[in-house]
Amino acid sequence: MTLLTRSLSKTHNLIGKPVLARIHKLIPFRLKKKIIEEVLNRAFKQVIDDGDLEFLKGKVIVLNLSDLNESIFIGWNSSLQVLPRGEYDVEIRGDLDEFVTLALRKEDPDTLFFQRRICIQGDTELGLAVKNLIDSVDLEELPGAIRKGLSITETLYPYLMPSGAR
Amino acid sequence: MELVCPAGSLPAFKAALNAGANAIYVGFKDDTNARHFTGLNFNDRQAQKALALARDSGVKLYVAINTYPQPTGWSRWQAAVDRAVELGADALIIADMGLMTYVKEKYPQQNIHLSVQGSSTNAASLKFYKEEFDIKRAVLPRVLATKQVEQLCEKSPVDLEVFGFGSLCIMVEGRCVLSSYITGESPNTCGVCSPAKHVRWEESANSRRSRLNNVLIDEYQHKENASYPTLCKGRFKVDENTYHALEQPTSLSTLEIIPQLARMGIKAIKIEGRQRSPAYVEQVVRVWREALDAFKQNGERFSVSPQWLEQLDKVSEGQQTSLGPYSRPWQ
Repeated sequence: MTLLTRSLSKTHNLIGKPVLARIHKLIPFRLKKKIIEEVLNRAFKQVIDDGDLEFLKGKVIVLNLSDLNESIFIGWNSSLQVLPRGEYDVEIRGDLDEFVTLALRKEDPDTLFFQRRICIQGDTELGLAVKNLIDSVDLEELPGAIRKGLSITETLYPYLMPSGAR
Repeated sequence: MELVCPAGSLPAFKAALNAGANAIYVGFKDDTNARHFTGLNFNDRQAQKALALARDSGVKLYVAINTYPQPTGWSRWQAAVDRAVELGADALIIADMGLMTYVKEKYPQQNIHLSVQGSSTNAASLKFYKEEFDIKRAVLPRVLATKQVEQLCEKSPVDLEVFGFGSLCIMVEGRCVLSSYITGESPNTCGVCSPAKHVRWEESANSRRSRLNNVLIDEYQHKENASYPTLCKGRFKVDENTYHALEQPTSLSTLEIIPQLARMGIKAIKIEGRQRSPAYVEQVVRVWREALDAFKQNGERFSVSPQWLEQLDKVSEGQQTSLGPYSRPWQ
């Protein structure tokens, strides 16, 4: 590991994440909801068009970013929606880095689960279906802006999370 | 030897193509294949896209219709065959004789591979499938020792495919109904051995517990690796000892016997894992492509690179690999 990688990774953990944790607390729920819904519905457009999200009807999934102390409640009603806190069917929990690792397809979700880096509690079938749907999204066919975001994250990934591929 | 790779989604299919697969096997979105999970597998649009990609790269596409049709669903299995033939699949991977009869009568030109679920382990059985259904290839279950595979290769009337990598089953592959003891479902009848709707994970401060239809399968202590919540891989109390009484969670890896398999005349190596992600497919197929290419180049001087093992161990269930039954001294 180079000195640069080490110091960037340290900055990410000591400063980046705590700052991120603070910033996102300052963003009003309605704005966050709007941004996340926009990204999700674009990213999953093909899956939605195929009618593959109908099984989510009436279900609530929680993504719990444990190190940011943030939970995102997601539901489905003709489109993916961010919901206020409440009851849920399944919770997928892990540190932000693990979710980034998954979004970039750097590691296999089952591997992270076996290694106890992510947890699934509640309706396992629902959690597994969500995992499979995420896997079925073709990154090459994502809208330009999302692809660009992923590509920038991918460039930074080895510097910020050198331990990503443990 | 042909490298036959799994794909549970279009991105996994692309990953297999890019990493160097010679053939890719897929299933449809229903219980006609042995990886029946919500959100997994191919609809017709995705299957057609996969086929177009396969044709462009000269890679073969196989469709697994490898569960046993149930009395209420025969038309679903027929429809799966019709769709796969219409798609133009290079082979159908089938276990059930009734379904093979349907294929032979309706589509006599269609290639059939005998699925591992058919559990054919001797020359007489292979000969029967060849004579009755004109199968072109058989996938051997992971229950045979190297010596036994070698003997089969000498006598088999069809090409043989063996598993190269993937989660290991208890030693009755293709005939296992153990999970139905708890859930009423098994791989051959419903396409899964730990149906997700019966699985519950319980996290507490110190441990993670897995339950299958409320039966405790295992409890993992802090930092201990978890595994698939199948009945065969649980830890159970027998007398005063609690241990993996049936099977340890582990993955099969046959990298080190590539030269032996080639010498015997094995025609294809299969990678397990249609339920796994594109990341897994990419990592495992790349290692196997490199290994097979290295064998082609170096022949008997072939040796296994430590990096390959490290890569495979990481994505393995139980984070360990073994030669499984291949290493047994049975004759």
